[in-house]
Amino acid sequence: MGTPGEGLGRCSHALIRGVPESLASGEGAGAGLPTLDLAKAQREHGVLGGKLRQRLGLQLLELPPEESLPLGPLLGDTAVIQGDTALITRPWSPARRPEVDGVRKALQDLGLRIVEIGDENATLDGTDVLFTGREFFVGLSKWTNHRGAEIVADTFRDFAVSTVPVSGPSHLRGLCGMGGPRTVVAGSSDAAQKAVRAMAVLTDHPYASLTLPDDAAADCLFLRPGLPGVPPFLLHRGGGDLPNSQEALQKLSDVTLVPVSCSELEKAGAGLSSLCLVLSTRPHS
Amino acid sequence: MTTETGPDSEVKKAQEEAPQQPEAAAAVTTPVTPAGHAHLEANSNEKHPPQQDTRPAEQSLDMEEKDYSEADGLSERTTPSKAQKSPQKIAKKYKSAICRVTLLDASEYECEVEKHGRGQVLFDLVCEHLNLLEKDYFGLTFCDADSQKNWLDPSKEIKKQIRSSSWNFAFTVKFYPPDPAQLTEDITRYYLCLQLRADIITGRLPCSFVTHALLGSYAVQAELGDYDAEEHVGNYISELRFAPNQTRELEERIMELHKTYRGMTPGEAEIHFLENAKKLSMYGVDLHHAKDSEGIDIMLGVCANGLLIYRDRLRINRFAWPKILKISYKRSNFYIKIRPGEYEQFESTIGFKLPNHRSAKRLWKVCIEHHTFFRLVSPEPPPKGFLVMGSKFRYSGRTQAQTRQASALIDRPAPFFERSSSKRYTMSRSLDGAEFSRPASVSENHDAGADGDKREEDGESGGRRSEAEEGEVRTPTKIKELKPEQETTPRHKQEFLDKPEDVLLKHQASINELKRTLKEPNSKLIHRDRDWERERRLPSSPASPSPKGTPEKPSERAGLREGSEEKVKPPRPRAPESDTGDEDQDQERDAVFLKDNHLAIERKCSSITVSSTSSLEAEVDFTVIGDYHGSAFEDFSRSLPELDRDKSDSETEGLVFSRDLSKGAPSQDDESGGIEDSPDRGACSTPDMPQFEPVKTETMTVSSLAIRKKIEPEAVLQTRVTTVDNTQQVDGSASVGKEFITTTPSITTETISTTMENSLKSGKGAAAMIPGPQTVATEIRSLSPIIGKDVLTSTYGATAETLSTSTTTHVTKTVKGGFSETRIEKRIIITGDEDVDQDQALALAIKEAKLQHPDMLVTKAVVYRETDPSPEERDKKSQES
Repeated sequence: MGTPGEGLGRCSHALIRGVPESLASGEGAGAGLPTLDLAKAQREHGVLGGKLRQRLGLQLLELPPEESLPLGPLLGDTAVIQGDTALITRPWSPARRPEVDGVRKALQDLGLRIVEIGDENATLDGTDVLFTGREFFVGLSKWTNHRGAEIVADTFRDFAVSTVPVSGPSHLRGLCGMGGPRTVVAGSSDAAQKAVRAMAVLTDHPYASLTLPDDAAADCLFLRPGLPGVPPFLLHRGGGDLPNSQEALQKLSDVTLVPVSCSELEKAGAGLSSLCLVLSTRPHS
Repeated sequence: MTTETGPDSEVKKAQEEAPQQPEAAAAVTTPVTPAGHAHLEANSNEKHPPQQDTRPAEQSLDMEEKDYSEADGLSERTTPSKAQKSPQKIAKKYKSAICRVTLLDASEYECEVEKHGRGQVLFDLVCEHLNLLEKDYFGLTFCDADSQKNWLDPSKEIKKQIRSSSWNFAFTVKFYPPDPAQLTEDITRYYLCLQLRADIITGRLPCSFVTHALLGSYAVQAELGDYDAEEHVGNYISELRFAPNQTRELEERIMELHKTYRGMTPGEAEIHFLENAKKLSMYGVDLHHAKDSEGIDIMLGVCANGLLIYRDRLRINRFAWPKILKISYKRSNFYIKIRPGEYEQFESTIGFKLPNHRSAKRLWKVCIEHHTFFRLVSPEPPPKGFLVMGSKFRYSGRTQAQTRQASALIDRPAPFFERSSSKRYTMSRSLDGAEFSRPASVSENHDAGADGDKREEDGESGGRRSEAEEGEVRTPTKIKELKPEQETTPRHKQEFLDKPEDVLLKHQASINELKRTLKEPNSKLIHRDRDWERERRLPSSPASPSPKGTPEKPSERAGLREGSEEKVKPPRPRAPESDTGDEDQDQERDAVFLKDNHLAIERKCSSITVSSTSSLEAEVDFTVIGDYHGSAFEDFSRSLPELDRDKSDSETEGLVFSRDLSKGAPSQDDESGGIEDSPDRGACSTPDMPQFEPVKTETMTVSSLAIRKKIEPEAVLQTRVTTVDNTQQVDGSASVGKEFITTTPSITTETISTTMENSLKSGKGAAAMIPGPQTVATEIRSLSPIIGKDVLTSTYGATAETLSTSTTTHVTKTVKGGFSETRIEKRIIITGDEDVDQDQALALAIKEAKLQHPDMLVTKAVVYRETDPSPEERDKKSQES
């Protein structure tokens, strides 16, 4: 288990899934989604993949897009991965549930231990789960219910799993993220601040918190692909997307900031935590 | 179960005891039995105070005494001539009972205790049998008639607790040490490991496959030693149990890991085991079934840091001890009163429904005990007086702080013990019951409190520890709830006056504790600390007080994890000077070895230093502000008003006192069943944020004590900016002092040591405590992120004959590279008569200093003790100056 918090962000692989044309048309599951510029979205997605591979040096696996799954690129909702275990979720939206199949297969092939949700009453979106390196927080949101959270607790037994009420349409990860092993970053909206306060009450561990002007900026990924000793990366939304939050992000020391843009994909509800899954194939070594 | 001690048992007893101490048995013939009760009381009284087991010698003494009480009856019978002393009692006294205690390795230990013996007697016997010195983490449980598990209260008669149940007990861990690596002895860790293995097998401590494998592999290493290809063939661990549902896959993984541990000693393996186990989220969490106000099934988990609320496996709420103002129960309801949060105005009370009255009471007791053990410096005395409503139960054992201190003094070669669990934690055994069948290991279904207490009659007043419950229904008498926190001062004061005795008693306890620590010259603790201290400090003498505390930076100490006392370090050869210092120390008590030359004595006492949580916040705030200049960076729980207040506190202190009181005003009130706590922030009760550790500025405290040419305090004060001049006159002979100070229960962020420099200059033949001014320089410094969890509380008051204290304060603010550090140096001069208990006064002074700056941390206390100047001394002084 290592030092507390040490496990956070350790990764060797990243998994993404291509953007299908159906995402732009707002068909299928994406009822009520605004139309978006498909080419731009695909470009953003491509750049993200490139950064993950080249800048962070991760092994990148890209699942092919599927037209029947317009929200397929948001694969962060389909699995919760910690250590050698991947919990395959049961997304709130029934239309999205088939998305888990391709992801399950890929994760299985990578050698992860796969845990399924058998319970019909459980709903769990992966982006409602925040792992801090020491414990889990599960947002009880529009998307995730108590039963879903309970399954997270059953799956990751070493860790405390606390529930955090999330108001509004967001996922928990859309409001806050980890800026480092001991640093929670959060947006400044009421929902985000409320969530952070709830987390502060629930935790046994002290975290520092950094408030960013934009909620979306808090959806960042703390990643440690390299050897120990090499400063970790923070994959975050860049200045083109969220100019107001850049200055505050600079305050995170000890991380190499890697800005990326996904403003077009954001229109479909995507954030960095939903656009990729990261994992380590040798989590305990 | 209870057996009259007939000839048979006599023989048996003789067999048991003969090898140990025949003399003791002989001595026993003098019955000390005006009342067996009183005798035992005396015994347990003696056992309780922390002094006791600091030295093995005393320990064994205790054991002897225990044997007396058992043997008394026998000897009386055989030597009737002695019986005249207490003719009536004899008949009663013979009775003893056979106790069966299931130990952690599932073996059974049988012993005999006097029928009216208290829990402590049995517990001590068991610990002796186990060769366990760090026993405060452990306890005995028994099953009551409803087969619910209860803790055996050491301070009460066993018989009254178990009532009609059989005399069967289980030895278990009661308080899971948050950092097992800090335990002093391997043997203690071994027992803790056994407990945890049982917890894991029963599913009480859930963990993942990976962790099962990891813990299992360390357990195998501890038990079987290195992997040996010849000896360990096939599935050589299939006999052992590691998980509730053990699979072949798990066993294979364990064996795989086991092979990689070559060379690891059992003790090391156990440390690894514990280091991993302690991180598990349910480590040390004592679960109790309950329902919330809406009738939903929940679990209440009591742990070192507070109270956790679970629904199913999910943590849905958490109340850190600092958040909880009061805990009470009424019938089957359990209540916690919560300090208002940052954004709330009022205190709130949350109620939970427990299965029955007894379970509510048991939960309440467990809370009281955990709170006291983990959060207080010393136990609170039970409430006294006729008008106390409700239970008088208080935890009477040692707190974690005390037990750590005590175990630092353990001085014996590591005891040999056999790690025997493999023989017992086997498949076959645990398969015969769905659960691992230990009779009374306390798991979540506690039920039924030991209500026998009600019957307990008690004439004794002062030091009695027993509980006397005045009726099952506690009626809270206070109506003052729903009051904004800010205006607590008056209330607080009133409550003070309400309870002078309590406060005093508590104070006395703290003082004693402190004194003991300060005075124990031969203790290892001091040696260790001195050694440690030596690394970073020049040997000080009164002439060059050199608090060149520079290297003694908080950050460094943070690195040492919770302070020096735990630092186990083989005593290193010391400089001759320090040796003489020790001797000199002895002179204080024993004037025989007085020397003429003056010596500096450095002592460290880890118990003094306390920093409040608000200090934490203040520090964090400072850090943040300094670093990021009003950025959005903030600690989880900081509020701007607080920041301002903290700042002002550290800059001006004249006004602060009353506010501090109010701030730290845990109402000393509460109708019996309640415990209170101080306003710390739950969120940051365990502060360690190395990320934002500010760089410490190298402010040197040039303590100019060297100018102590005069004995007149004012002389010393000259050089200082005097902001406060506080003279206290405390008089009162016995127990009623004028001054009571309740301090904020606060967080020791790390057990920081206070350096006591003690220069004793006495003329030949002078008595130990020569009246004279004592100068205390307390340096309070705002400290940065700190690691540690201990929470200490205590109350100090002064009961001195004549004593005057004056305080000088010197504030230094440094800003360097965006970090600001405030350092306050206080000079407190205590002048008193011969009879003045200077240690006590010192404790008070330090306490007060802390009170005045609850947001600061005492990092150093330098003590100079000056006696009436003798000619030699004057000579010395002239040389110095």
